[in-house]
Amino acid sequence: MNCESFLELLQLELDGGTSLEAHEHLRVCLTCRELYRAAGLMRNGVQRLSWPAPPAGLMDRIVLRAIADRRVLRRRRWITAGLAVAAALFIAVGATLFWPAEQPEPNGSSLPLAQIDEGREPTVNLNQSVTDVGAAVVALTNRATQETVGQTKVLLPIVAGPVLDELDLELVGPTLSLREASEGLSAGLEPVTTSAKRAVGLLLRDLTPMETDTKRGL
Amino acid sequence: MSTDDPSLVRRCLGGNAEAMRQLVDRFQPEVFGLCVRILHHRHDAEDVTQEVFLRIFRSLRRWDRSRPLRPWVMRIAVNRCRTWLSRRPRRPELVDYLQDTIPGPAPDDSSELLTEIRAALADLRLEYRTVFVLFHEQGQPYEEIAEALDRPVGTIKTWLHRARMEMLERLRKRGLVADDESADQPAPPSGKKP
Repeated sequence: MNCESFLELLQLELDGGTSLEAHEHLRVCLTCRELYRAAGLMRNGVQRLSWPAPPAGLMDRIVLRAIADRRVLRRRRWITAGLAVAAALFIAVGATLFWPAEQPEPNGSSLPLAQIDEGREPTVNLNQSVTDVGAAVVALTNRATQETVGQTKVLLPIVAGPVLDELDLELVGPTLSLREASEGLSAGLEPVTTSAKRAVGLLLRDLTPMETDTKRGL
Repeated sequence: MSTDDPSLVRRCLGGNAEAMRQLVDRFQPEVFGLCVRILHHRHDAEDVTQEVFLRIFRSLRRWDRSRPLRPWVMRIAVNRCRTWLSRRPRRPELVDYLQDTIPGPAPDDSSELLTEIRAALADLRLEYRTVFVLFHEQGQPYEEIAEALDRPVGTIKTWLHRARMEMLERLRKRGLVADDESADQPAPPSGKKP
């Protein structure tokens, strides 16, 4: 047996296991023999160590302090509970007084915006606005083009360009005017604007239940 | 687990002063002794003992009634000692053993031995010392110590084995177990001198 194994057995003996007093390894190993003796001394010495005794009166002090502490904690709990109830009431009253009322529909209907029918005509205002913007862009572009071309004619010398062979390609004229293009753009944006209005209506519908929750003190 | 632990705790939670006194009386010796062993200072041990019981009474609602009460109490004691040590400014250890001396005259070697054992205990790191005191001085089993320190049983065994080896090596090196024979000669049969 080697020392490591012997020391493992020594640990077991110190745990309350079998005595190793007559073990063969003790006869041949001085170090382990000394350690074994030290273990015996340690066990005896620890048993003779007197356990520290608490001073007189410590128990009374502890109990009195614990009772006083208990009273303080109970008082604090009551105060905290009262403050929590007061805060909840304050929030409920405040929400009831200051939460904005739901705006009625322009046509007098109380339905939220999200309940717009699919086939309903969209409002004219947005279409008109897009058309007006398109017309304004067209006018501005035309003016800018004319001014630029006019200035260019003045600045550049007249140069006889190379004579090009007649192209076989047939030039195709524009299929749409700018005004028609802007009208097409506004028509294309109609689903987007309708979807945006529907989304806002859904949001407002989800917000309105918050008012009733607040009234219930949640 | 003591059969009357739950009823004692119930009465304490109800504010029964007598029940609180009983609880303190039951655990005060162990708690105070452990604090002295860990903190090496009686005055600090008194303060920490009071802190321990205040914590116990404040946390009594959280005690799991299916578990024994003592490991739960000792865990609070160990944690408070650890907190106290971390906050205590470093100062020379004031070891007060006046209350611990054996009454009456004692032979020199036993005094020397006890002094060495106390010194060896003081030199152990906190975890090793705690486990050693709980096992060898208070006689608590591994499972209860593991629960008190919130560590696996394997860890507790490792700590205790290392604590023992450090103490044994110290006693051996201090010459308290000097062997008169050389390593080459076989040891005499136990109980007989050469």
